Amino acid sequence: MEKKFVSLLNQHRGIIYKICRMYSKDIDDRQDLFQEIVLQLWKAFPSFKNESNVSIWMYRIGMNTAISNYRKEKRKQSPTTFSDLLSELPDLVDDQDIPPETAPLYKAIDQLSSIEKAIVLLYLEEKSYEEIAGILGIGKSNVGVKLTRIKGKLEKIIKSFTN
Amino acid sequence: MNLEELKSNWKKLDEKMDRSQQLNEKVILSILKDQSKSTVSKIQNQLKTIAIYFSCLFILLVAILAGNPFDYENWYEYIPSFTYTLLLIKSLEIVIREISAVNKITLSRDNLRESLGKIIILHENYKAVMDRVWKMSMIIGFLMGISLMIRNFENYGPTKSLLLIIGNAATVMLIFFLARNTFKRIPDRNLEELKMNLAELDE
Repeated sequence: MEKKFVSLLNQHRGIIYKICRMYSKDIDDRQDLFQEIVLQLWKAFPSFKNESNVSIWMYRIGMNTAISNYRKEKRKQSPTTFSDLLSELPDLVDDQDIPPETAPLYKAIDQLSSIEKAIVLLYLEEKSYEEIAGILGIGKSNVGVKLTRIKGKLEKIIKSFTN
Repeated sequence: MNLEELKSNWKKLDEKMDRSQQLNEKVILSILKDQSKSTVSKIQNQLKTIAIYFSCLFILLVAILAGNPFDYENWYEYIPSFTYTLLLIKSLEIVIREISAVNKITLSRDNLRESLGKIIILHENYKAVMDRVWKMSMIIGFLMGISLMIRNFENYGPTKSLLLIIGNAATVMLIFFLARNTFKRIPDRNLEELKMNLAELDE
C-alpha cells in the first residue's frame, strides 16, 4: 500500500508543489505544509479506492489542509533528517522562470485571500467551473462571479504596482 | 496581461514539475511516521494530555480518600474531598466525550466549505469544553483548600470558619474573573480567519 501511495504521489507531485507554493511564504513553511498535505493524503488513502479523478481528490485534500486544517506555527528545528531532503523541493516561481511581463501578476496573486488563490489556482489548472465548485463547495455560477471579481482585483493590484 | 496569458506560462510550470526529481520513497515513508500538525490532531493531543492529567489527579484523590492522610475524624470532613472527586469524574467525562467527538471528524471526503464548517465547530466546541473544564478546576481548587482546613474548623469556631470559607471563595472568584477578562481581550485569530474564509465562500 505504501509503494502504491508513493507512486501515486510521484505521478501527481506537481499538485502538492503548486498548493505549497501558493500558501507558503518561505521554504520552511513550504516544507511543513508539504509534510502535512502528504500526511493527510496518506490518512485519506485507504478510502481513496481509485477515484476516477485523482487530481480532484488531491486538490480537495490539499486545499482543505492548506486553508482549513493547518495553521502555521513558529518552526522548531526538525529532529528528523528529511527536512534537509525536502529542501530539494522545486521552487515553483524561481525568478529566472518568470517572464518579466508575468512577474507583476504572480506578485499580485500572492496578495489575494486564501479563497481567491484557490480559485485562481484551479482556474490555471484548467479545471471546469463544475470541478472548481465541487472542490470548494460553492455554486457553479458563484465560481464565475468570483473569477470576474478576482480578475478586477488583480488588475487593480497590478495598477498599484505601476503607480 | 490577463489570466489567459498567465495560463500559458503556468503550463511551463507543469513541464518543470515533470522534469523535477521524483520524490524519494524513504523521505515519504519518514513523513508518514511523523506527527500531524493539523488543527484536528493538535486539539486531539491537547485533549488527551488533559485526560491523562485528570486521570492521574483522580487516582491521587482516591488514594487520599482511602488513606485519609489528613486524619479526618468526622464524616462531614470528607465532603469537600468527595465533592471534588465527583467533579473530577465529571470533568474527565466531558474531556473523554470531546475526544470521541474529535476522533469522528474526517475531512477527506469533504469539500472546502464543509471542511471549514467542521473545523470552526471543532474550535468552538473545544473552547466551550475548555471553559467548562476550567470552571470545574476552579471549584475543585476551592474545595481542595476547604478540605485542608476543615479539621480545624472546630477550633476556629463558626465565625472564623465562615470567614475563611468566604475569603477562599472570594479569592478563587477574583482569580476567575481576572483571568476571564484577560483572555476575552485576546482575539482568537485562527477562528476569525476560518470564519472569514467561510464567509468569503458564501459571498
